[in-house]
Amino acid sequence: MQTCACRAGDAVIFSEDLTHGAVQNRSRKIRRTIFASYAPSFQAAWDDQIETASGFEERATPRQLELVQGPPPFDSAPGFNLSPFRASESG
Amino acid sequence: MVEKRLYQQREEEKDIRPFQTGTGIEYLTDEDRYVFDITGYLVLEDFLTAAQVGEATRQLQGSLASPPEHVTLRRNGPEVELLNVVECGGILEQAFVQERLVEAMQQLIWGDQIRLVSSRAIVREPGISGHISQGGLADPRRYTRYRCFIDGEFRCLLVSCLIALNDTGSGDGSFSVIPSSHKSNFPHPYGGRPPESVAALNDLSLAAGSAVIFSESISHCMKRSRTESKLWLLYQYGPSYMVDWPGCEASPELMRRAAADETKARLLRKPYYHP
Repeated sequence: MQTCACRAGDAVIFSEDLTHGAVQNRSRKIRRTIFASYAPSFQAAWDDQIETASGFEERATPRQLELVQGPPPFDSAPGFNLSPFRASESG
Repeated sequence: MVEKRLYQQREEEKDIRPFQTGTGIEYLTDEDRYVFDITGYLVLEDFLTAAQVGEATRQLQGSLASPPEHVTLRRNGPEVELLNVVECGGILEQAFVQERLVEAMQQLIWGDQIRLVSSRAIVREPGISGHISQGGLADPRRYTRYRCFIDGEFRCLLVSCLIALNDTGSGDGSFSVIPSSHKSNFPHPYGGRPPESVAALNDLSLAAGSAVIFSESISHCMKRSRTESKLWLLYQYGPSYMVDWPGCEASPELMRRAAADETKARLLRKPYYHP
């Protein structure tokens, strides 16, 4: 196990595939961490942890809204036309 | 103290490990497993009886004329689709929990941690064929990923069960696939070409009531039928965390009906994460 020493304000980006954990807090202070997880839009939100506070939509930037709401989960492959062929077109 | 806690944690992990790494239970025969891994699909002949095909057809014809609550009629040009047909009840609510289908999906996706992602009916008029979907490693739609690990455990994402409600066959409205294309490293070169002109497609001859289970990562399409409309039922399954196909969310009424059936209730559960 390798320790990831962080100062206040530092961030760590890691794959959830990485074995990880928080060891015992030996100080006398409470330690707070902000944890944000990202995933493809076909993956459900983790319980209710994506619910936003009232007023969020009004004050959020377009990019923040985009990240919270996500794109449509089941988009088609780009560049592929899904309109059916008629026999007269396909010979 | 720290060591003791870590030891206790490891003991707890033993309880949840089977859920995280799969059940290890094998429902498919060795041959099924082998064929699915190599080809990307499995045919289930006589999945529905003739009586069940008749019931499903009558239910869908009624729903096409007047969609019940929670069922949506959608048109994509000349193709007609009913979304959320599991809400129609009867055989349409029963077919997706048939034991051999659920067991296959459990082994292909993630043990008990699977759910129904969509239930749909597709009507194909004569003369209409579809484009060949992408598939393989070049497919940017990551929700279709086919996965089978070195230990033999499958971890596929979207896996579909397509049931023919009419007789279909080569040259007559077949469901067609490019076998093994779920493992292709390249995009297929057939974009914009009618499927009737693509030799690599293998036409599956499915009699009414037969089904095919396939990884959505396989390149597939429906070819045109000569004379009659073809009616298909489609159930799609994914891991527990996969969200519903838009328009295929289970209603509270359906959830209440399903509560008495453990398998049905589990498959209709809202998307969730394992412990």
